[in-house]
Amino acid sequence: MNADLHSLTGAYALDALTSVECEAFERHLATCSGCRDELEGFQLTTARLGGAAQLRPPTHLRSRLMADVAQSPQERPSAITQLRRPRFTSKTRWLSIAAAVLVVTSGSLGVNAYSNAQRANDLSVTASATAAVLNSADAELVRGEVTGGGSGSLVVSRDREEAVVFTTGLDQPAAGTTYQIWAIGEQGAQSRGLLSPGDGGDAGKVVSWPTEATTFGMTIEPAGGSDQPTTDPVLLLDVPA
Amino acid sequence: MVDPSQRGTGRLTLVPDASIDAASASADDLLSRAARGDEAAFGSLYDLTSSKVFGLVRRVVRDPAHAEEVTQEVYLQVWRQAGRFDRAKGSAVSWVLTVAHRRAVDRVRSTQAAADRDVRAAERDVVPPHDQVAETVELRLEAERVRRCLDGLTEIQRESVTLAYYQGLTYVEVGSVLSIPLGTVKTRMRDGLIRLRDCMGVSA
Repeated sequence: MNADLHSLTGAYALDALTSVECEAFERHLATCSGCRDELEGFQLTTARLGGAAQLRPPTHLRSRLMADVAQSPQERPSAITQLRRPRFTSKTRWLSIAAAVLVVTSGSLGVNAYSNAQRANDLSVTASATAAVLNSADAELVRGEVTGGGSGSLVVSRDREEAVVFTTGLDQPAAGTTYQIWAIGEQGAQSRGLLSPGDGGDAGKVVSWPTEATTFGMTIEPAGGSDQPTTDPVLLLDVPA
Repeated sequence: MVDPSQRGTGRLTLVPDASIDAASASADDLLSRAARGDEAAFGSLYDLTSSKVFGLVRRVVRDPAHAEEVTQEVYLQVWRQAGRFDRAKGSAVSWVLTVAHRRAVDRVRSTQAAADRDVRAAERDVVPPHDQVAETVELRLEAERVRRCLDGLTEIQRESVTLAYYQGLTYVEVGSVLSIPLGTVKTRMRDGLIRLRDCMGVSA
């Protein structure tokens, strides 16, 4: 999965990713210094592509811009240094909740394919982000069957404005399509990213959850995802207020 | 295509452009000053970079009125977010052009149906439109360097890079226009940029 994300550096530098993948890649970028280094070189390169065809803008543009600038407040630099996600250390409570969630998501399957050791290893990777949601006092669990096979669960923390998606037994989507998940509310459907059948497994997939959203949805979309759902949902879950 | 005497270092490097280096050094200063609220420095940054920004935006969005609006949005964003620029991580010119390209592409994608852009893409005009042909020797040389580096790519690399960068196509659309698998498009974009980067002598 990481190798796949690494290969997106070029498409990202060319602004050729869909908005959904763009968000996923930016999250990856925050943790991959090799990607950031490569991207810097690529952006200097695309700047040369862009700078080669120069054209003087009309002069009225400058005066209009400078008038606007005089009215426009600047972003305070401190606002951008707060991107770090809080780290949680108490894994015990999360592991017991995760075990409970697994029982629920595995449903009648009962048997889990992973050995315990392997699962513990997988869990530790995303444990801190997932645990942060599962450990929150207001966490709520909803669950449903997926049309076409498998099931999905969602743990929502409204305090944290985050949710964790767990899925089990999902079919591989047909070639050229992908699962995409949505937070749905008065604002309509907002994409929460793409989901591969493996993604929402034991470790869960953490997504941001807008406070106004009342429904979780999953659809099958063309590869790369869509800006809005284009097919009937294969899973719809009402989220407790 | 490429002077054979430049081979042998493992990297094909064209002659560095001293004037661009000097201009970007002062652009870095101007942007850093703009980040502290210096409107005059911001005005000078505009004077130094606006032909590049407008040229790029116009090329991607085509429509002159849209190009003006997008250019205005680009510089307002640069003004508001100037504090995000990190000198250690790149040049101000590159940063401003990155903002400009993203905005131009957003505009194209929101105003034109994909099918419409496919038609434009089919025209495959890699050559800049006539009104954008550089008027000074300096610019002609830079355009020539870029063209030579593009010529050094394989056809699929070149088309993947230029359809995305100059026409604003997503990699999915590029794959459909060129009839090649999506995984191949992503890979060609990346290795195409690696080859361009090395040809241009860019060091991050």
